[in-house]
Amino acid sequence: MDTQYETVIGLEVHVQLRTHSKMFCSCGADYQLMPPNTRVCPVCLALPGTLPVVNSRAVEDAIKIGLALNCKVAETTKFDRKNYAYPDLMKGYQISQYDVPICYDGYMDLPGDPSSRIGIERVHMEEDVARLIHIPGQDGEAGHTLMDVNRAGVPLMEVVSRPDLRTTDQVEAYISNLQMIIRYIDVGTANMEEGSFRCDANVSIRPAGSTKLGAKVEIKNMNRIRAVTRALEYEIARQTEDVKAGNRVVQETRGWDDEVGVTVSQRSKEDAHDYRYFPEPDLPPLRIGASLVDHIRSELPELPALRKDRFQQSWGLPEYDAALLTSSRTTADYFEQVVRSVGAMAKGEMSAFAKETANWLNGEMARHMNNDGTTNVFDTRIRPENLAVLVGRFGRRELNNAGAKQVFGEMYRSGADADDVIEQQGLQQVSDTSELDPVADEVIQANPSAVRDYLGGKKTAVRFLVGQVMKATRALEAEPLMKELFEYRFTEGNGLAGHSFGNLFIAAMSGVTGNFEQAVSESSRVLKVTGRIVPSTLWTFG
Amino acid sequence: MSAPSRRPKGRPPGRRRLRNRPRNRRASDSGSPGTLRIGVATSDNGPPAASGARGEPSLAARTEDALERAAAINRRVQAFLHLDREGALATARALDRQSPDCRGPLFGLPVAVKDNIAVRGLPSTSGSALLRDYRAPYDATVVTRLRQAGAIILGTANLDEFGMGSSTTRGFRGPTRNPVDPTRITGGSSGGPAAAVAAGAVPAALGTDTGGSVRQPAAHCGIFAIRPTYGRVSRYGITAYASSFDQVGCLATDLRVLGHVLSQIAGGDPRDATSVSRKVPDFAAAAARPELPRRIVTVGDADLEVLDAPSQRAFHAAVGRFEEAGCEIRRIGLPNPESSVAAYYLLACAEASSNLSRFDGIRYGHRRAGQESLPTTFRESRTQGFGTEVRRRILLGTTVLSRGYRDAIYGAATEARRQITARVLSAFDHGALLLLPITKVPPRHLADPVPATADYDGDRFTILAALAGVPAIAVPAGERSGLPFGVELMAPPWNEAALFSAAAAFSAIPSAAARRSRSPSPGAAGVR
Repeated sequence: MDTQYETVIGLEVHVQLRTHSKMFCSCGADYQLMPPNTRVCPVCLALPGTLPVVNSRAVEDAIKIGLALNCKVAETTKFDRKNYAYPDLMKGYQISQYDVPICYDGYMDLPGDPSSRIGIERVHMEEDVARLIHIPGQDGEAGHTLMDVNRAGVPLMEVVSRPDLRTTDQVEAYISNLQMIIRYIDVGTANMEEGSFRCDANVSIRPAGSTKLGAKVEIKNMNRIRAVTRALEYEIARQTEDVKAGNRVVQETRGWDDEVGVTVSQRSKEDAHDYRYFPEPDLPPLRIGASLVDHIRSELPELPALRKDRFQQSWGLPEYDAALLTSSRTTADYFEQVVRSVGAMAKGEMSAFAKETANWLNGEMARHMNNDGTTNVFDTRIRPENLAVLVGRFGRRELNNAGAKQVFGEMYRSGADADDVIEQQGLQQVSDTSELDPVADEVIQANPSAVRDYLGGKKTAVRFLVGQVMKATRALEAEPLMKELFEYRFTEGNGLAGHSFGNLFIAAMSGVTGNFEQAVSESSRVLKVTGRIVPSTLWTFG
Repeated sequence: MSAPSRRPKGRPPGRRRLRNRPRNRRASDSGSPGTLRIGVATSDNGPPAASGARGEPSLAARTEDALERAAAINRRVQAFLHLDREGALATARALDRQSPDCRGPLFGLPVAVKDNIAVRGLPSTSGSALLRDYRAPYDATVVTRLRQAGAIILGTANLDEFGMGSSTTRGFRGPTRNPVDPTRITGGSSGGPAAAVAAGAVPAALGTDTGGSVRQPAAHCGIFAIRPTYGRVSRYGITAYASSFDQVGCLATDLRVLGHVLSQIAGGDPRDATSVSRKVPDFAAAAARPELPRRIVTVGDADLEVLDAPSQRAFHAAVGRFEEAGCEIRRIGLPNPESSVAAYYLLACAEASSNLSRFDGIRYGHRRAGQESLPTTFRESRTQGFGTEVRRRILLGTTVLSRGYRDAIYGAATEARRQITARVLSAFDHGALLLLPITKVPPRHLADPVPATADYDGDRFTILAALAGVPAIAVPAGERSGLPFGVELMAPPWNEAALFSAAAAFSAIPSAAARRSRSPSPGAAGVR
């Protein structure tokens, strides 16, 4: 981007709530998978004589969102009618909030960017519209449009940021953090592709250093985060070019065409709708008691940013792991249950256990859940305390990586106890070197010149031999230890020939760790060998 | 042609109605408190006892008669848009089978409901060609409550399209004629319910009152009508005209019947957020306890100048009746006469422009034939479906809310409403009730052309209760120019009971004319 100009972006996000019923009637709000027009009643069809009644749960959820975004909550708020005509709008007006939104004046600190605090102008309540499905005509015949009223009246919260965003990276961080918060406080799915989270952007540019806002362009129709950033990048470039060419940016609404990758003018400022807002006479103003707000505040879960910090501090987790774990409230809860299910440990030990637990949750667990579409880790068959057993035994090297994964897979499939699976499948760790010997022997025998080179003092030859062993045993992570191992070997100055390779490792590891038992375990871990796995790896060997 | 010669029996029907009342009152008195024993046969058979008992005709048989009578009346005045023969008879038969212990307080009472009140399965046109073929798939809350109380809905009654009018000439099926003089209008917009009651087709009816729509036709037809406090009765199922003004009202020849019906339909409704849950008094009992207020607040001559001379005299006579009965009379200036009509119409039309935008021809109602663009479909369906007055009010209301006008017009009108409300409420100090005329002139001839805005100004008295949200009752107060004259009493919010008691007391005060003529009829003496 041109440093001569500064980009100013504000976002308007519509968040669909996952309440039981719709915003203003008792129809189910679970329209997503329902046959068309099966979640309708006289109220959401706007038949003559029907009246709206506010869903108090939606009001509470709106307050939740506001509090999670550090907003103030209005003591009295009201609804207004936004009048416009379109067939997806049953009443010919949308019940929304105009000048007294339920929540206002908040902010969001962007994760990983402590210097940027994005102002939240307001959070207000409104209702979704029906879904129109346009069927194009064939052979020159006119097309037609189908209407599904299931979605009409589903609660929508509009979260409006201040024009504080400057880069598409910030936009991306803002959106994903907002999605995370929505899921965290459990008010919606915040899924852009299914339409439960929709984002419009206002973007303008101005000379760097200027405090005046340029003419803003509103961009609509961006259905994925990637579309938002692409549309904004396109629009920033377009406006910059315009200004550089000496033209003025026109205030207008533009639609993003994801296929072509351009924004297209939809309507100018002059054609902008006059929504003729006025107070909704069917709904008296809502008074929101301080006690309700306090109650909601007290029930608010620890939000992801704070929780991430706590995970880093309490368990010494790296920021990356902590962020990944806390991006889902249920996964973070699950993590805490796993680590709390084990007894007291020394701090270092606990930290290692926590890190290992994070690895399993962010790795195998995420992979399995992704495969079968599970979104809540508590819906899997593995109980937290049971995962703790697996992680513990793995941490004590009673299982190697592949074996532990096998055990995990079985636990995930059947919900069986870790101990039972390990016993049934005989997956206990190899504790003697006999099964390593064939590997070592073959490596040595297959590479006599390397052995000679090594014995002749050529260090790199050892790397080659080690590499061959690692390749055969699929060991991937042992590079530094290997180095240490062979440095030890050099200081000992013994010949290699005649020793089994496995014994060599163990001897070497004993030297490094000063403990034979641990050496056995470390060697196996480094080499990723088990009784079952080792023979099969020979196929890749030579 | 002189007006009297047009009257059906050459006799002032107001008097005829009044003669019926004592009989009705006896009927009410004979029932246990809270039980109405008026039944179908108000005019012929006297009070019905339990149907079937003592060899009396069943409710079904009497409903047959009532339907026949209603049809005959309809041929004369078109009070009903739709008589629900099947539904009414089915209800009557079901009630006939009911054990006497389960009978509701309105057991067997035939009622008419204005056609902008949803009755499941019946046409619900709101008097609009746009909704010619629309049938309500659900019952309005007031209809549900009528049914639960044992009433029999005889049919839906005529109105001005969407309640927008003061004449009941603006519905797509044509005018309702005044039963007192069928060459004249009934007033409106609840002219159908008023005519159905005044002509004796039903003892009571439900209407809606946005700016005077039950009180004004009641005055023109010589019957009682009440507009309750805003929020007293659920609006769920009432096709909205102006939501912050609309209230369901009741019309009846007998004050206690009126009270019974209101008590039954009143009370909070979870489906209407503007309805208020508070205890509903027994208004029939209040009607049976005549009681004049200590003080009557009314307006002075300056504010009465808009009335024609006979109406002024009739109003003065009514004030005189209160005074002679011992009420202290205090005169104030009519609250904001220069702005109240404007404020009312601007706000009502603003709300209407939004309320009526659901009628777009897409899901129900009239849609212009042909496959034109969407804007054309919207525009033409609405232009064809709506009548002139409705289109006028939508356009007015749309303008009021438009950018550049909203603050200046809508804002100013809202502020005026606030001031008017404060002034109206202050009139009730010291337990006073406010007494106002209802109409400026007698009901006009149907043939007389009247510019819309003249009708608007005709609402100048009735809109005050609507703007302030306070209850108001229309009370017959004799005649002028040979036609019924009515006055309205207004009370502080939630004090409808005071209105019933005051109206009962007022009706019992003999008028000066009656005293002069020393009417020999003991039945009539009580009321005139």
